[in-house]
Amino acid sequence: MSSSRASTWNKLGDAAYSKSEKVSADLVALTYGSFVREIIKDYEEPDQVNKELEKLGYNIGIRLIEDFLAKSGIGNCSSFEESAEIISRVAFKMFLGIRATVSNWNSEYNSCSIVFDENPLAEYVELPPEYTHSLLYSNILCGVIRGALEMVQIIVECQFVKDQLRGDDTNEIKIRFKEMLQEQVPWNDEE
Amino acid sequence: MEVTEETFDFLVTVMVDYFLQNKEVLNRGNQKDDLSIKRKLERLEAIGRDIGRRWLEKLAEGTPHFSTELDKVKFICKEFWIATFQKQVDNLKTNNKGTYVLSDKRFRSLLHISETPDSIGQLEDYIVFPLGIIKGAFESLGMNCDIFGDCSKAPSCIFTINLKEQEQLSGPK
Repeated sequence: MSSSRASTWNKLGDAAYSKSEKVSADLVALTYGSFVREIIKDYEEPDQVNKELEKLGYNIGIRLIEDFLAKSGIGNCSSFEESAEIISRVAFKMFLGIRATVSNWNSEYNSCSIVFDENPLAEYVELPPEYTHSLLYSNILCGVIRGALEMVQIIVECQFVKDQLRGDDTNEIKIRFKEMLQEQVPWNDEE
Repeated sequence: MEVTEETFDFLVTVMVDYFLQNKEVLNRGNQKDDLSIKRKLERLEAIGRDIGRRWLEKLAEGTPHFSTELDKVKFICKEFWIATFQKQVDNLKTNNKGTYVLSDKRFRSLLHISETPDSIGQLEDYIVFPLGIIKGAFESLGMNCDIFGDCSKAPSCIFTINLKEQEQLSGPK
């Protein structure tokens, strides 16, 4: 990744963030926490809760991408590698106010990690012991990434592999590239 | 730390949709369904109240004690409203007998919904959650109340709050 592109993206992220109206992260954390608690009441099984959170995130991702492309000025994401950088440098900053980094590329360049130390969703959260090793509290983020990338024809799988709520040193989402969809002609309405 | 308001809007939208999710299916069923929808909305309101209560406690930390009921209501109309809905209430009226009418010409929760045509619920359903938040804020300041929202001229919204007399709440948790 060339450093000039990286810094361009950093600037785009900063600009989009500073332009937007803001809400206190406390209110977001409070709301998200209450929401997760209700989903736990509904599903009980941590695996089911994780799945539901991912699904909800997906529903956000498919709506959010349009907003993201318009506000950031990024035309499109041409490759998986570039998309990962854009997510961490522009999208994380633009929506969550934090910057993430991309690391752990495998040799085939089809899998990497998005790493971030601050997680506004998980402020003030302490998981009850029975959920510490089973609940992926911020799994909604995996769904957002998957949904948003799907809208630009990139199919991925995301998985939380490190979470500070579980006592890890940082937060890490592993993204695996599955395939690139062909652009559908009917969506290409230029008129 | 601050987060972009879109993030909060997206979160609230999926959350409201989550609680209304089975509504279409339920509508096709029998009479029991109305109750279910009512329950769903009550649950949404309860979550809003819980968030509103805790959120107001946080916001009011360090502010001096409110000397009058009107001071409390003003705090909600200004500081609380700005922190929650990005602007203050446009107009506040009271009959001095425990009824307050708050109007917001561009109510945040309605702005976003009108831009999201694929949302599941009715407009009224989407103010249930913010109504809960506002009710929770009042309760947090020791004012038990009934609250009604009129969003027939969306995105403008008029809130009527009727304080319940002499009813003591157990106070902030």
